[in-house]
Amino acid sequence: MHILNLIKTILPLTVILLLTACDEQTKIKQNGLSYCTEGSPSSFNPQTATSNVTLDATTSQLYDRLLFIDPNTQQFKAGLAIDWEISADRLSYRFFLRKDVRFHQTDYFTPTRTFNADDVMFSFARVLDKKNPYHDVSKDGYPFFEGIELDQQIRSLVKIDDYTIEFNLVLPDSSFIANLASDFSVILSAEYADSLIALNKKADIDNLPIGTGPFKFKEYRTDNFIRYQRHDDYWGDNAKIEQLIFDITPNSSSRLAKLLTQECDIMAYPAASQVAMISEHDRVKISVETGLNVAYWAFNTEKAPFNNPKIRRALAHTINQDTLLQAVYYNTGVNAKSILPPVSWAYNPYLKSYKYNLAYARQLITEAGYPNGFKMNIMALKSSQVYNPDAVKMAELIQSELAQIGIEAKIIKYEWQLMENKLQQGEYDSYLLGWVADNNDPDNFFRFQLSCNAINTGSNYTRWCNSEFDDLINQAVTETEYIERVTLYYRAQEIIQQELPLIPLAHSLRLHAYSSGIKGVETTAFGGINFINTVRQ
Amino acid sequence: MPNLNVFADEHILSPAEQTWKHYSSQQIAMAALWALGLLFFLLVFAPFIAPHEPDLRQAHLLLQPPSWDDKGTVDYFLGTDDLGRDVLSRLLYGLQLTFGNALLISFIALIIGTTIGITAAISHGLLSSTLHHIMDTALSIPSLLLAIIFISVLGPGLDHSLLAILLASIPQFIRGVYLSVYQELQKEYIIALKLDGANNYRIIRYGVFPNIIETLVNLLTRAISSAIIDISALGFLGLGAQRPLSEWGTMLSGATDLVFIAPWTVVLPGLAILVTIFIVNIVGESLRQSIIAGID
Amino acid sequence: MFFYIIRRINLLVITVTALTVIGFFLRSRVAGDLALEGNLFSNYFDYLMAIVQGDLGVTSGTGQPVLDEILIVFPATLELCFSAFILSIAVGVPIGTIAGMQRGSSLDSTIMGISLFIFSIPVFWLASLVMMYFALNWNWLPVTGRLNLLYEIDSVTGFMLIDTLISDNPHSQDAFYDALKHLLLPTIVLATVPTTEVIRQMRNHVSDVMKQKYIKAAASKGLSKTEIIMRHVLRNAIPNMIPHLGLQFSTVLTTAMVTEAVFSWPGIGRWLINSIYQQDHAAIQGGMLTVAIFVVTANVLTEILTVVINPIRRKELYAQS
Repeated sequence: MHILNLIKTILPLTVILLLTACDEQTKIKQNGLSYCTEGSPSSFNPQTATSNVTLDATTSQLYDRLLFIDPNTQQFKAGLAIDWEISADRLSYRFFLRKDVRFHQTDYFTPTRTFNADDVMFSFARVLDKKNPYHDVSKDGYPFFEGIELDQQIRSLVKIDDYTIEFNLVLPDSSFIANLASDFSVILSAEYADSLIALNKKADIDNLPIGTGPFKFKEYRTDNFIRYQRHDDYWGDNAKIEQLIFDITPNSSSRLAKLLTQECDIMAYPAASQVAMISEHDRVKISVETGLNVAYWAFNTEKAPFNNPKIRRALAHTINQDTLLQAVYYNTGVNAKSILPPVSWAYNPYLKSYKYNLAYARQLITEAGYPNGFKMNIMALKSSQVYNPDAVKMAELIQSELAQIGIEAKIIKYEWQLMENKLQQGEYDSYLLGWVADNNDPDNFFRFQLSCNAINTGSNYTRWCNSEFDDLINQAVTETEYIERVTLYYRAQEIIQQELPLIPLAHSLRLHAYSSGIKGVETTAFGGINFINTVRQ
Repeated sequence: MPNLNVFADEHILSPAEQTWKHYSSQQIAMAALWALGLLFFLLVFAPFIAPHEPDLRQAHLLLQPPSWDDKGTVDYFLGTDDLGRDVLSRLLYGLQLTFGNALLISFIALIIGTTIGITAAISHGLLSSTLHHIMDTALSIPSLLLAIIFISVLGPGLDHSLLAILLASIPQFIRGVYLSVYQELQKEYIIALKLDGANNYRIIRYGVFPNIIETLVNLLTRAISSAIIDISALGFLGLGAQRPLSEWGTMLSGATDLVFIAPWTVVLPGLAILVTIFIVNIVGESLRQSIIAGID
Repeated sequence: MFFYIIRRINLLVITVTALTVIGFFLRSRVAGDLALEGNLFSNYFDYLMAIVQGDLGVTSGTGQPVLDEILIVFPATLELCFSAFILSIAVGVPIGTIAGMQRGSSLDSTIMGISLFIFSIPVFWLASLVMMYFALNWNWLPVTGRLNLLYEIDSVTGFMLIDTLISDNPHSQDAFYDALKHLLLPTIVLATVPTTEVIRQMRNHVSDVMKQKYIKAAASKGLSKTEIIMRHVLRNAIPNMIPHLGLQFSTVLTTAMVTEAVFSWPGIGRWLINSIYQQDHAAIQGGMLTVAIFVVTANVLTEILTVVINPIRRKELYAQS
């Protein structure tokens, strides 16, 4: 056989085919959009979510909330509720629901009725009512709602008529409405839930989602991609694009390669180190927003020597924030003095930061009774997070500072699921983690992570309990006067600053890289990305 | 004592001398041998040569370019990485982790494998046939895949990865040694030795061993180069050596995000792996040819 | 012949048994998956029965059956391997033949020198460099992934080139070319090392054949060089290549598993390594069994094939048994 001849024939043929195929692609690209994200969602129901990846992939695409926060004005805006009334005693919230809202029609479900009060009742009953048949379907529970103790805030939820519902609270709570607007508080379909019970497939409710959002679920391939299709009967203006792809690419250089070769139109979290390079490239652009987030180093305050505030303060003096910003964030972050970011209205600008001073740190540690130092471990997440592009690297930097004052630190790297297990079990000295706000209420930063009650509900991993702090944040949510609330939060931040259950390290900027033809991607300071108005030019 | 041998007697070269004569006549092979010598030197003296501690993080010296760049300095000859660590020092210490461990593993595998291989070849029956079967099995799975299987059981880590690679490379030796010893034993001069009343030890030591050296050299160099690849591949995948160890594959995987702003952090560790394997392969290949030339 | 095949199949059985023991061990770590009460052997037997019925357990991450996920990721890897394998043969055989024909010449040493150099390149490093270089400078060629995901192609066979062709998507033809383009770079990178191996083996076999008397006879008959190569050299050298190719394919498979992460290729390597990170024992067990059994089976089949098509080997076997 004339192998060489065969090659001679095949090779040019292939090249010609490849070249002609080039322009064909543009057709399908016009109507679709592909977003390169860094991880897989843990569920398609944000009610059960713990990670921002899950929220990004689900809330704004598949669902609607009763109301939401306008990313530009920071005001509440009507979602599935067209209006709401708050009683004079601030204990009951009445919501008037939107009519003619259609749920998604998919291969696995065909809705026969439009959205009404039953859907709202079901969506909240699922989370709050332990007897609801769907309550136990979520194996991870409802961490957000458990953290804010919504079940104890709400005395009752009443259906007034088909398009009116009313929440009755136990105590006035100024963060309540912000919580309803958070990415977690989505509305599911009660009809779909009933049909799944009949089919005995209850677990499908979180895997094959039905919502009212601008996109509907088409296909999910684990760790590979999610395919959404436009929901053509959306109650608002339909999305501009027909198809939305979440391309799951954990490696940030692969994500960048996909962006540069136009496999992806938008890229989540470009590695901080790549930002300078991307901004030089003319076919891609980068967007930067201040984020409502914080990265911190937190301690197990139940464990010696970290139960001693003096030790914690000493450790704060080993932190060189400028180095961290340069080495880990490549200057895509800002210094952190408080757990609250400076853009928050309750941020206390009068806080003094702990100065980087190893000699002083050593002195404090000696005074606390450890002249020879000690051993400790630091848990860090392997994957990059909104608030921290590289926790392992950060841990390594902290480790080398600690080594200089005689503290031998061991770094343990985890994926989130494993780390969460360790955190629940209490087997750790310290950990690098962070927080991304779920709404614009400062309470969100404090209650979930540092209140005494959150130790029991399993979200205060510092296990730090301070009654004065607890009183302050409880008082702050019942208070209505803006000035009063600010004062209370200032004091709460001072206590954290003094007691240091956790050391704030940095606030990260939120970065996205786009192909230059893409317009109208909406991002919010508290996570979340919305493609409803996105167009390609 | 004066040399009494006044006759021009032609000196007959021993096989070893023959081999050396053949080897040293090849320039590339000699260059590679010198380079290998240099690698050994660096391997042993890395801690003395390295200008800095491999783990010394200097916050004010992040991502310094190599010395030939305008912004580089001679103090950090190959630049620094994203934690301000000296790349040259890390590469030198990495030589111990990657190349050193590869040598160690290969020699252990050589000893274990040769022992088992010879034992199997001189014994008959069940032992031989069982070994044969197991070896066939183990050999049909590539060593890196076998190592990944071991690690999936043992869990990631440098020590686990070394153990896995060792276990995966022993069968190569057993099989290679077994086959060549078995072939030698069929030859007539061995039968002659047997008739002379030589015991097993003498047969192996004087009859078989000199004739399987070519096989051993071949097996050893292949084992070293594949061990280097395997150690660094596992490091790269995050299954072997973990950060902050400066194993070359681990260094590479930590640097992939930096390729645009600090290409040297990606290029240099890869180049180190490439050069080391290349040297080992050239020496191995040339040596093998020379041994054949020496025996002929 | 019969005994030979029995022996090979015997080998297959032993291997699979060894692998399932490891798999059983891994699987028994998954709490509640396999009850550890009662007899170890009967538990193991239950486990074997489950595997035979295609039940490899469910992944801890998503709760999906392991087998379903493997059926999606494994063909992706195989597709990449096949194309790299074919490329390495297409390039390696002619070059190896040229080198083998002129063994000892300067052309031969150049070819062998270059291929020894390429053989020494760590593929994962090459992959990273190639990906970055192409992404930055030649961005008309996709460097990661299998297909532009905007094309909606149902997974029928799992092989993208086939699935795009049989798909009823109106854009299926574009999708096919798109899949082909995605395959190009990973294939070239993956084929580098096996190509050098093919060159080496081919050169050795060809030069062995060249020493044979029948070549001299053919030359003295006045056959042209091309005729000698086609009618005698290749016909005698290629059958000897087959056992090497079997082993070669397993090497390609392993290398593919290592480079998948770099090219974000949604194959079994990336999937298995993710499972190891997440300590998903059921998935590790399933992935390991699949890959290993595939490799061993492929090897046994190539060996049997060798004997069937190569009369000389067959004769040796008769002499042995």
